[in-house]
Amino acid sequence: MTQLQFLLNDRPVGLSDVGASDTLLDHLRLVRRLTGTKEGCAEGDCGACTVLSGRLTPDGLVYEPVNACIRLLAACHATHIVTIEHLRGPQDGAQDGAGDGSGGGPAETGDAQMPALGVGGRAVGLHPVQQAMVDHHASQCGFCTPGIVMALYGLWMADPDADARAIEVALQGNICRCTGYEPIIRAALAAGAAGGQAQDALTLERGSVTRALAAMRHGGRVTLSRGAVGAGPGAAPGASQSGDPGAGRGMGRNGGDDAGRNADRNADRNTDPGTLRADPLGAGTPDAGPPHAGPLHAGTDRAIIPCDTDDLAQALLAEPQATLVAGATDVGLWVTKFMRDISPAIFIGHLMKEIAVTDDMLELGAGVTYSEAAPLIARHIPEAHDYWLRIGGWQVRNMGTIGANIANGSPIGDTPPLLIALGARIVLRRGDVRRTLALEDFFLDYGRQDRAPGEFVERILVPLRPTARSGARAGTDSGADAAPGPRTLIAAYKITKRRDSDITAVAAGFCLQVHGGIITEARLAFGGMAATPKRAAGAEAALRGQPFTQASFEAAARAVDGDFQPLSDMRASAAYRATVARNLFRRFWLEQGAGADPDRPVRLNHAVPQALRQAVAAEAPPFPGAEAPPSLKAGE
Amino acid sequence: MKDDTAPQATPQETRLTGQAHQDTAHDSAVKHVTGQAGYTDDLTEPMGTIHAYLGLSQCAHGRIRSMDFTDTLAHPGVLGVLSAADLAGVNDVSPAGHGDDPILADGLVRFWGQPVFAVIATTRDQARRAAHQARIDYDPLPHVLDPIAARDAAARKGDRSDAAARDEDRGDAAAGKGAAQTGAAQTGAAQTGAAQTGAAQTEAAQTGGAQDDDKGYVTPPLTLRRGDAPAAMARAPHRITGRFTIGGQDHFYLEGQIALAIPGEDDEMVLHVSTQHPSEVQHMVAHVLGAPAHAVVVNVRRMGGGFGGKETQMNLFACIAAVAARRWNRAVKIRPDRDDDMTATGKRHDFVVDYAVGFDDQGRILAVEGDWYARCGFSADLSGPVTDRALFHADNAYFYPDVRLSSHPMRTNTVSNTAFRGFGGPQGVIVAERMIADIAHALDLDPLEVRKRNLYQNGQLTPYHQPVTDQILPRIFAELEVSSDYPARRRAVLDWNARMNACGGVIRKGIALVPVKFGISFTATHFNQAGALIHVYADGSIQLNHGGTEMGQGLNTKVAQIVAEAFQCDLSRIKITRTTTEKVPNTSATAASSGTDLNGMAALDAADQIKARLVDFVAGRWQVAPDRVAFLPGHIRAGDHLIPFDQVIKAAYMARIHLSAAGFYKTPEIHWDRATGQGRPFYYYAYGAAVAEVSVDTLTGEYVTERVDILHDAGRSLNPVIDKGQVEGAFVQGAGWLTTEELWWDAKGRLRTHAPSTYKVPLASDRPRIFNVALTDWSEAAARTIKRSKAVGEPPFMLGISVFEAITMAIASTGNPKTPVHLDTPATPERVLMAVEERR
Repeated sequence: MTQLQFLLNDRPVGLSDVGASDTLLDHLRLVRRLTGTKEGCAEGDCGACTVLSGRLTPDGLVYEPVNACIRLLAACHATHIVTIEHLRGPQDGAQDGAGDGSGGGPAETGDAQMPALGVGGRAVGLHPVQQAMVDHHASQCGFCTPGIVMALYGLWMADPDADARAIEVALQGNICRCTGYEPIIRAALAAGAAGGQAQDALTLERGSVTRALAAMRHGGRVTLSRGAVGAGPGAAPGASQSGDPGAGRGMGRNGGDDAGRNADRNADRNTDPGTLRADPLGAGTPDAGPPHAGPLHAGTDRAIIPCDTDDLAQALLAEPQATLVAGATDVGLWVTKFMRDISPAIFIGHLMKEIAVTDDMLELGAGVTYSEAAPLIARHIPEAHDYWLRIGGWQVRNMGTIGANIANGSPIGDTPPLLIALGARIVLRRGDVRRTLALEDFFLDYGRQDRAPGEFVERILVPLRPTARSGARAGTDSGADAAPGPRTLIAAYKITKRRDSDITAVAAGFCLQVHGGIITEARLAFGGMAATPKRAAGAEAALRGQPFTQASFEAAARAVDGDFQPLSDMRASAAYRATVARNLFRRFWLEQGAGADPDRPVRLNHAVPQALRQAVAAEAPPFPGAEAPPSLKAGE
Repeated sequence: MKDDTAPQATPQETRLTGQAHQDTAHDSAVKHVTGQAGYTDDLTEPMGTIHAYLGLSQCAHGRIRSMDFTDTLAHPGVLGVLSAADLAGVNDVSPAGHGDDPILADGLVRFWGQPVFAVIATTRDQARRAAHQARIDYDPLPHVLDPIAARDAAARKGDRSDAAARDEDRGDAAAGKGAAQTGAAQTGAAQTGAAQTGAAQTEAAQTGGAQDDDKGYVTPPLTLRRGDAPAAMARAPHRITGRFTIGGQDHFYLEGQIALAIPGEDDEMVLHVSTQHPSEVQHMVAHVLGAPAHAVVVNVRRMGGGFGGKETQMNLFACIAAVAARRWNRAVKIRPDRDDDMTATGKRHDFVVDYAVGFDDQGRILAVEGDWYARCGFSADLSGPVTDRALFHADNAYFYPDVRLSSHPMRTNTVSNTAFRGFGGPQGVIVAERMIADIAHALDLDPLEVRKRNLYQNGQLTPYHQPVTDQILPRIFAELEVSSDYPARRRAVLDWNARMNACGGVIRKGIALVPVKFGISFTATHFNQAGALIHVYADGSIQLNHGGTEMGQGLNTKVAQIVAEAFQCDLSRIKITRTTTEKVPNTSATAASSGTDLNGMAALDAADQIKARLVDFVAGRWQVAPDRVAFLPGHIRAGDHLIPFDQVIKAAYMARIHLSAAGFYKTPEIHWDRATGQGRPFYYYAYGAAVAEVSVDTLTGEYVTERVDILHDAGRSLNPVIDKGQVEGAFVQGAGWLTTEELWWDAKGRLRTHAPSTYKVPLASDRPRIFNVALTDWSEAAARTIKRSKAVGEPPFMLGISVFEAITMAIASTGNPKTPVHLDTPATPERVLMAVEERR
């Protein structure tokens, strides 16, 4: 197949003239003139470009906020991209669902109409999240606002019960320079209190969208290219002449049953054009958009979207020099910042999603995103959950994959220190040949990994010892040194200039076995301290076989000085990195050792008092539309 | 007409919305949340629009040896390249008329990232890629990056009397194209007659330019003096001296710099830009095109944030777009990538301050001396008034009996620093607060007690000899101490730290109550003027325009509320259109917190003119005395007649009454003599105070702001909910300046923190865990301000200093409390940890 297909708000899109480095944001703003989505930084750090990406998972259709600026267009295949222009209030949705034939359907993509201010300043047609943002004066200059609305919309759908802390986590990837965030947090709390999820447009469209996306996946490998005919202002427009009508048909008609099994049954009702326009052009042809007005470069720019992992293995064998693109949270910057030519690029973000948990092993496909892994981390490695939620912002966690974080080889990747400490191994695959090696052995030197041409990271194997592991504060109950059986003590630390969505200055993963008061094994890995993620051999030696006492950790703190010669850069000085590395041993002892004391906290408490939530809920009545049952219910 | 006057609804029953002093939503709020609010980049482009992209220098200081654009010009879609030689008019955008701000570097580059050329191409992407294919070779010259290095370098040159080195350093970079070079005797003002705009020539007219440059100054310094500070210092029972390094700050407006220029007939040029200063863009574009100002129209609907970063920094972009638009006779858009925006545009000045304070046993300040060395960058830009304002606010809220304060605006090979919310004030205020903290440490007092003992009393003189007459801080302190429970919480913090000291706890706490007193007015007196234009259309709808620009602060909303109240109509009757130099000429920048003060008054003047005409008309038509005509909600009363507003307007139109008026305002009573350092530069002061409590991890230097309580003075607030938003936002931005926002240059002079991935502005999780913000609902401006409100944009920024002071207290607990804490800003976790380690 040579056509990229996705849903954009309420219509299917099919594009043939697509290059590897085309970004979703440029497509939205330059080609579609959907200018509600803003460019703030073009590197996935400010969130002004946040849109929702809906994709099919084993659990059904899932919508997640992503950064359109570094989401490459080819990665949108078989997804539903939802922009700010698609948001509308539940009352609108209910009216459409009722299908009164009055022709008052929602505005079409690209020419959404301004909600009118109704009685009492309440705008008709605003989504509960938007209304709450207005009510709480949560916009000033307004430039970050569409992105914040979209992130909060994603949260409102995923976690109707989000408290202030959950809202902060959801907004890690959104910068507001005007408001100081307080009114935004209040607005998000109010939107949560208002409810209305059942009547939301994306809920009502669920069935038809699910079928449409499933249909788009059935076309096998997708091969895209642009520029071959000749680039420049005179180049042929990107409109697909024939295209694959599957997308158009898929919109609510003959989608795959399997993928749709989890969809809301009620959504079947909403396959009429009033809600989701199956045939916006009247001929079943996906909308190729106006003539390409986006970036044009010379030469052939190719993108390959394999249909499965075997296909990936073959494609990479054929083109071993290809750029592998998973979440593009780093490769996206190669494109937007360094203007590097990444062609040919193989897009793998939709592959290798398998997750398996056994008694002693957590097996993660390389394509599992940070967000997808988060619940597993919370359940199986709770000591690292806080650390995990400090990887990038929410959008980045929704895009970035663990496999790519490893394969990228960065000395400041967030997952390797923790995974190395846990003793993780990775499976590398080339064609049908697989090999397994310890993660720490993968990192050879700065920018150099043990990966042959044509080879890719396929799986990550993380050892678990749930029966032996104690909790985060093990040992304090019965006296650490006298604990009866072997215990596994785990910690993950990330030190940054700013707490959230910052790149590591120093990261550390600690995993210790303690038996009978003796440290029987110590695996300590650091990031940001050397040219690669690296174990602290001297500190490990200082702990191994030693008593589980403060003195041992002081010795390890001294020893770690000899393990690393960190650099000074804009993130931290060498002296700071070295001091922190030492102090993390002291922190570990204070958290895990005999002296751990609830009256003597070791870590800062970032909790937000629930009083804020109660205050907002008390003053904010539920959104009017949310109280009324959706008109759909009548036919059930 | 008699029938029309029958009352249909009594005004008493009509409740108007959006009146002055009412909580009213931002006029664009619904457009913001739906993505329908249009910014410059969202405008529909004229057919055939082409794009410009800047090429930046990769050398901190050096002569351009050669420029090779072969590959650039061969890139697909490229139409051409502009360099300094292609600028037919004046190659200068110095806002102060110094002639030292080339649009494109002419022969010499003076910082890493200076614009050297611009590529014009069919698409932005083509222009950007092509710009990176240019090859420029430099002959490097020595560079200085920080103000102390600049001072020392100047001193060395002075010692050697090395005139040649001076000439080389100044030379052609300072000279606008076509201006003759006459060596060291040239002052910035003398050489740029052609570049002089109407703006701020007084700054440049200072004497001693050549001598100033000998000292490494980029603009003349200032000294404020009252009494005999050295003698008083010598007599003081206690003296503390210190050096305090204060970091700069990037604006990080979410919408970057952007300009769209559309050529017209004759010499006309229409621009849509994101600027706080449309009139200056108009003047600059006119100069660079060699056209009169009347040929250039500058439009601003709204900005995606400004914060001072779009007061002068847009000029360069607008000029490039206009020059290219003229040359290719097509619409031209220019928008730098975020990294280039942050590299090539100015920021808040960072300072190194050497200070000395003398005080008595009770902590009362007796004498202060201070030297403020600023990293101004390669050109003056607004560094003169910025460094002046640092001195104006070096007292913050405290009386200095004998005082000498000096500014040293140092020329450095870095981007030219510019306006940023507070405009140098914060860098003055924080030094006052540092001295208070030092005194409190030395005497083992609660810093709040030291603050109280030094607060101005009405009648006392500032270092610039303006008496303080509107002091309200004692009441703010008293109310805030109660509402924040400060005394008990301070005791709890002290107890906590003592307990952690005893048991080896690593989390320490700090709490601080910090005030702000901020002078309102442009210190350049002539900027304190504004215009407005109101049209009342025959259908009774009202269009309002004024010279201010909307950057999110709610200016349009507040000015419209004033007009709505004047006409006794609902806010919805009024439409504020984009700011345009076609409607209101010769405007000042929307800056210095003055937007509402100035433009609100001008709009009220316009409304009053129309109202006066209507009163005359109504009195004549309904045969009543003018004093029996009144504006009531939705109506006008003429004696016993009550006429709906629409009908009055319709009748007035039929009677050929002029229903349009241009309003004007100039701030009274202010004056300032920079030569003597005396005057009344400020019309009034705005006040506020904040209590911040923090916890600090002494193993890593990380911290969390636990709780902040603010009580801020917006006078009789025109819109409390919008003003509260300004307070909250300014506080967090101020706290960001002092905590995580760090500008970091490498040895080559490259700014390495030039994007949000490396430059860390506060996120939602950095805001205080508990955040209580209130306005002083009892306050009323003593000066005759617009409806007795007070400006609110900048003053609360300095309340963020409370976080820094609280961190300082937490650090102090880790060692001898009498030893002062050495903590520079920004207090990154690294600086905090190193300050802790120093005390171990």
